[in-house]
Amino acid sequence: MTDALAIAADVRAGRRTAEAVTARTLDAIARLNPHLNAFTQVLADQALSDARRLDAALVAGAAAGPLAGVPFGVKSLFDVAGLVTLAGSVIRRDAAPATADAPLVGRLREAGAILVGLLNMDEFAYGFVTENAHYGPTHNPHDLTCIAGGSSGGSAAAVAAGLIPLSLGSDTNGSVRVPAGLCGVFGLKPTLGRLDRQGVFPFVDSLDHAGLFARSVTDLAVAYDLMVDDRPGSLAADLDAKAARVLRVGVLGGWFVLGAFPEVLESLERAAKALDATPGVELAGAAAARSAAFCLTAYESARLHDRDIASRPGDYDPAVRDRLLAGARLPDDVARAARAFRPVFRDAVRRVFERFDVLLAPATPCPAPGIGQATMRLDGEPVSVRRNLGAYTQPISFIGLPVVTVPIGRPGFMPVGVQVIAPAWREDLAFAAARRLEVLGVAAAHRPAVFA
Amino acid sequence: MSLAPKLAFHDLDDEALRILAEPKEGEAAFSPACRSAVLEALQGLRAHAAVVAAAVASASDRDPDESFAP
Repeated sequence: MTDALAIAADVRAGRRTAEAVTARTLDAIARLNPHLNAFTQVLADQALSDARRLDAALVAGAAAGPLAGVPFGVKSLFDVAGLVTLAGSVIRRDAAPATADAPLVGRLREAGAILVGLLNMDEFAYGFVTENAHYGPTHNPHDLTCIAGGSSGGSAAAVAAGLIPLSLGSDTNGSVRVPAGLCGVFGLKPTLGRLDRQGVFPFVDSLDHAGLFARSVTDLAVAYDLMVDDRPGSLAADLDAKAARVLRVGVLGGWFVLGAFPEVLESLERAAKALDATPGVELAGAAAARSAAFCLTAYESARLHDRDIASRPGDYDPAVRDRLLAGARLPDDVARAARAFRPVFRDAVRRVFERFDVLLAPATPCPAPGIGQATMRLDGEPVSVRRNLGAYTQPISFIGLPVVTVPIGRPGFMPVGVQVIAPAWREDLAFAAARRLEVLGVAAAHRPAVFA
Repeated sequence: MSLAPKLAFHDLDDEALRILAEPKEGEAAFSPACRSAVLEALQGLRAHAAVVAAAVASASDRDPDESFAP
């Protein structure tokens, strides 16, 4: 599988048909997905039918979209017309099928992309590991004994393994950035509210973002351009020019390196050096922001599931059920306090951005832990894997800032990701710095040895 | 600074404990493993809530800007 733009260029030029690309993709999924468990549902017949329809339209002289013939997958919480939106659960199996595609899915299809399947996730997006009790764990393509991260683990693993060049996911506390980092691909979590969440099964209304994964910054930018409503012009078209400009870059210290593994710190240093970044930038209140995100997540998600968790607790993934039950007992004043802290932290960060265009931070404290691994050591202390993989991502999504996660090139080693964080609504700055790291050869989505 | 703040068990909410340990009719009964996991999760949440409450208290005299405007 090549990158999305190369596939689209081939299909537009008639060098490959969309049907041939789709058939090859489906063959690869059939061979490799049993090892990965990235896809939970493959839409083979529909994908081939869509591809043939596109080929026929192109032969008849129709204009080819920017993603003509590009295979893509979506996290199983996006609505796809005619399918039940399971959101990684079994409790929704009896729900009515979606009557329309989620708008973001529709945008990619309108651009000529071919939807080939739905991707595994933590149940209802509540987790950082994608060890789903109903559908099994998604395996990291770089080491099948390790987790892919979550909650968009299937979306990241499928792109990392080269099965598809593009996928959709969601990020509430780190669910794009954690798996992107652990699987070694590029991930975008845009500004809160930037991308349409209609048709995306909710988790935490005040924190949910839609996002995406790709193997290059340019693919990420082209897909992002297609999905944005409120920004004139093309981010992708200006990307190389913006990447060539000198940016003011800071590296977050304090909370954002607490307990980080040596290879994580080394990767952060490589990115910082390439961008001539200022080290040791402090975001005052980051620990409290993380705690506030934790509380708000528990509080809001529990209320969303209030009826089902009371009547059908046995139908939930136990890891999710237990946290929903705990969240249901949180008093309202905890949520009020968490919400009250949000503008306080946002203002503090905004002041830091007066000195910097982008900030760098690790995506995770460590490379991918093993599947089934309950604890890891951070700062000398044994802590829960499930609760702490998002320690560095939660403060950032709490205030909705845009982030491009870049994989720091470490061929032969487990991937490590770095968050490139920009001020609200300035995705262009995060993309520019990410593209510069890619051009300099610091960031790259290396193909895992077993899937090369 | 720790990634896993802890609070004492006695800070847990009495009603939460009652529902989990002694469910009334109409309330789901939970296994000991589930109760244990929920109580552990509640402990974590209580600890996080305490961190947030302290941060809000220290910033209570401010008038933060609610907008996302750049």
